[in-house]
Amino acid sequence: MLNLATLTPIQIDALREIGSIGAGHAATALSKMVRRRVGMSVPGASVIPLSAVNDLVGGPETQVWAIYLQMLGDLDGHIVFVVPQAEAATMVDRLMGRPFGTSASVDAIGESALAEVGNILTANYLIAMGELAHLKLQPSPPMTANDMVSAILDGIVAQLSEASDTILSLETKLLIEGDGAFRGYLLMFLSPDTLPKLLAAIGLWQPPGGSRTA
Amino acid sequence: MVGMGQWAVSDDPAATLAIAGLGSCVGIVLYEPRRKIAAMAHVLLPDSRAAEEVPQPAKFADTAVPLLRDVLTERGARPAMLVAKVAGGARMFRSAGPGLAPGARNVDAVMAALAGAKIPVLASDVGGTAGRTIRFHLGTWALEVASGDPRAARVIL
Repeated sequence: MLNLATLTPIQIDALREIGSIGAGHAATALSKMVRRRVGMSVPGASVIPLSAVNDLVGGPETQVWAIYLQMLGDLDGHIVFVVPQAEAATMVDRLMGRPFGTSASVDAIGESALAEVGNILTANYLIAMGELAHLKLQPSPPMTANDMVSAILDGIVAQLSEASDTILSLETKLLIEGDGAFRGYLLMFLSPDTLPKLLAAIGLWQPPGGSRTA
Repeated sequence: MVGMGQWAVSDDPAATLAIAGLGSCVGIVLYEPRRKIAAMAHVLLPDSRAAEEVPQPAKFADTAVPLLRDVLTERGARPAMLVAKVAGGARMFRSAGPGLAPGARNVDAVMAALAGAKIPVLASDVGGTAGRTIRFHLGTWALEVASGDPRAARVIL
């Protein structure tokens, strides 16, 4: 059994690279949808205690929109696209081609537009990751929530925490600057049980006693 | 602030025990009304029996209740005099099926664990579709619940 606490710097770097490629594909997809350049932060890859989930995306009570997909297929994990509440309406205006400030809040049509974007971004992330690691990954149907960020993430994290008090978190910030600026966060959480499969697929882990083929 | 899977205890009448942004998780407060002592746990999952080891007993409903009871009795509280207040266990994703609605299972498990320990639940605010921030004031024994839905009123339990 691979322990999250014993991941080597090389393994962490490789995971960050996977996050970078996944998020890069997601950023390209977003850029096509809004016809603007999309900036991307250097992805963070870290093994964090459950209690630190509260610190993701600006503090536990930050009001956000979130689009959530479960990873199906060869890996067990979760991807969430998070947009701060204050910027979600701007994002909807941009997606619908309306002047900025048209939407004071996210209405039902805006919600489906956000869900669709979240779906496309996270699916692109998964496809890129699957191609890189030669793994079969499919997204579950997307689910949408609008609430405090910790309240949205706690049930997702709980699904990964039965056997572990730490989780692997890969996070990337996407941002559009200038007129109608907004930020979105792509968060990916992987189950500790599934990590050996991902690392083995990219030749950075071998089961004890197994032969190295990478 | 009590983070996911963590717990806290206090005997300071000026203190507040709090959890920010509870979704499907459940916050449990145990206290003895005649003594100024209370403990809070931030529960993520209903059942520890599937886990190989339990280094963080506050994470599971079935281990969090005995943990809080022991923490309080070690500090002089009388087990038969303990009472509880409970909040949380929301369904955060509207389209989620039962497999992805862990809130209700957490609430059921917490209530069962409290009943098993013969600890009465004086008040609760559970379920629904909005997150909660909870604050327990040791001076008044009030559990203040603020909803993640800005239109919802603040509740005092």
